[in-house]
Amino acid sequence: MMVDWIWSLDSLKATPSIQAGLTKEQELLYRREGIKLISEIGNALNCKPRPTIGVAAVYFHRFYMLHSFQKFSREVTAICCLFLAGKVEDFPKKCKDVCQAAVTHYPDIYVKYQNLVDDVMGTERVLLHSLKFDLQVGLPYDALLEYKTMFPDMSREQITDAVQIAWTFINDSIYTTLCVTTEPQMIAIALLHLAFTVKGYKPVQQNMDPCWWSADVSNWPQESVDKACHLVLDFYAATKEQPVLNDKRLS
Amino acid sequence: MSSQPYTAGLHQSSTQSHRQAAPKRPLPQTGVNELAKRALIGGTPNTPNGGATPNQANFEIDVKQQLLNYQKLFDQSLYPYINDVSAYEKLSKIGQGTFGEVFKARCKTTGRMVALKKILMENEKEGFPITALREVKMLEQLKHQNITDLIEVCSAKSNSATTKDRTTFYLVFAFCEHDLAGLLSNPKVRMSLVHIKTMMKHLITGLNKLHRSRILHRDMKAANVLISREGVLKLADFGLARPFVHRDTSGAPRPLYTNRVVTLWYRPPELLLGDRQYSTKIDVWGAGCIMAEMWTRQPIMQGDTEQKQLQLISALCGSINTQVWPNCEKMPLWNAMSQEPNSALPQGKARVLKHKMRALMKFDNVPESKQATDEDAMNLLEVLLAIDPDKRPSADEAEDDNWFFKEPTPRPNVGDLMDTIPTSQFEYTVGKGAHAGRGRHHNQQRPGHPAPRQQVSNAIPAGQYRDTIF
Repeated sequence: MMVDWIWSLDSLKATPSIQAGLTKEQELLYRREGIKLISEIGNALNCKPRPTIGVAAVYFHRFYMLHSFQKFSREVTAICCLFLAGKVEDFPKKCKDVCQAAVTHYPDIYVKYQNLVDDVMGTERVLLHSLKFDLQVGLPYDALLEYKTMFPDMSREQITDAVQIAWTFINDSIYTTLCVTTEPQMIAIALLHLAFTVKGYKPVQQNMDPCWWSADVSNWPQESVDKACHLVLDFYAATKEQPVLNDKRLS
Repeated sequence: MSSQPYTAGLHQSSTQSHRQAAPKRPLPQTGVNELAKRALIGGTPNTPNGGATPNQANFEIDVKQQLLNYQKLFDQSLYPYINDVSAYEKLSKIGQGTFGEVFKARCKTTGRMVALKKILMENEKEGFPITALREVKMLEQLKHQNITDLIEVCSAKSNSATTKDRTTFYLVFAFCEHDLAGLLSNPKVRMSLVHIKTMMKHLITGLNKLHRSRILHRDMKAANVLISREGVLKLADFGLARPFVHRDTSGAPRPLYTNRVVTLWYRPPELLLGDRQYSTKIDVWGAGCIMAEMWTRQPIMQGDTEQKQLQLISALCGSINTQVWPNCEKMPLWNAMSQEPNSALPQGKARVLKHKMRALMKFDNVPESKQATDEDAMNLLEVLLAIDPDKRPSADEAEDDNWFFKEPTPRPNVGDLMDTIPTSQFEYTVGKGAHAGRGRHHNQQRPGHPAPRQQVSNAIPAGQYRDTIF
């Protein structure tokens, strides 16, 4: 039942939504909106980014690699992803409660979807089909925590600081398509690297390795790591330019 | 997902510069204090001044209509995400599971035999049942030769095309011809020491894999141990299994689990005394019960109430008190159980397990002069069935037990035992033992009114297997 859930960067240019006429920017915006909804409702229901919200976000991104935003409502899909992730991660929330939280935060949703509970339940089947029941999702957090002890040359404060920042980058990376192109461990490496860079820390290189992660992922060049980092930085930039993520409105 | 670094797909595209400027863009070295601060504060960066909604194509989605369209296309197999159950030819119903029926079936393309476990959705208010989700998720983690193999999840075409009418799903397992309970209750199956040892080795190895993956089985019993045609044991039925938090996690309060688990006859003393912070050792007790059953050929302690079960344990394994189990008085039901008029915790009982087992550890195909008690087997059984859970070995420790390294050493499988089962007998057990008899009636039990499971009764549901009780 092993399925490869990592897509090439090129396939992001030809997603079902883009093939159906959406621009790349619109698609990324819709992805951010969906994740925003997952995150907001998740917070309202006391779900943690790790794992429930993180897993729901991965489901959401995977789903729209297979289906288009034109066919499947991002709001309903987002709510459904959170509902399913809650059950999978043993933190179940009643479908009604998830929908209620959504409506409380976004009254628009109630106007648009009068039968929200039914819609979410109906979508669950599509979601389960699409995810091929491969529900176990690895998140970058675990790998990040392992790196905490890998830098004996850094002071405790420095490494704690860097890991803390990287942790937040990971929290925010769910808004990007990073999780469909990059494996969890590599996301952890890239965003820890970003945290080091931001703080001006330079981990001491062991042996003759070109990069500190070479021991783990020897064939991952600096450029690819930088590219992954830029995806997250682009998200920060995008949210500044396009204030779509404000609290009140979703569409 | 696998942590295989660096997939080919990523490699290719990274050389092709997906965003032209990207590879050359340096990461911000300076002037990122604001960014770092924002990152440190956490949360989503929000820019407060809302306003201009970006230019976007406006389209309304009729969710119901879209779902109907989806189902129509799915039924025409235009969405190849998961297989349709019509890929399998149902042969017979072989049992009743927690959430539905179990069928024996044959894959139409490969001819492979499978067990289809139907997941009933009709009464689910919360969509796909969480117990089934748990089972799927755990089995995906647990790929091991001594654990039942989940091949895939299938769905069935819906009969009517309304969103209310939800699809039926099936879990598809590799089919096993036998289960241990069926094998043991069949007097024609003659087992020698090497068979028992091999099967116990498989059982403990599977359990060790389970516990290393931080999963409690919570329903160890002979009926849940399947044996393939090749003679390899598989732990099955994860309907009650759950992931657990490791014991020594930074003094954090340990979560309370439901106490109503494990078939009564295989239930360890701590569960009978109401423990809700139990550990992997509950499965080890079950393994001990199964080990003894290899010789007795029937469950060793067949109580019909929790009180009776405790009495049976005391009678066989000795009285339960602070001498053998220092923490026993801390158990929630300790007082209630010991104060009963007809005490469930009789004192002064000697441990007679060894004595009783010695008489049973004889093999009918070995002449009397060559019968010798297997002290190593006895010692392992002694610790597996220790009253104090802390004194039971972990599955990992049990796997390294001396017994498994003494002659005769375990073999890769018990295929030769399978071959001795006559065809007629083989046909008889097919569809009776394996994958069947999974009704977990204890889930419906009310606290305080423990109904016996698999009680001697003439009313056997059709197709359901019942342990032969001697």
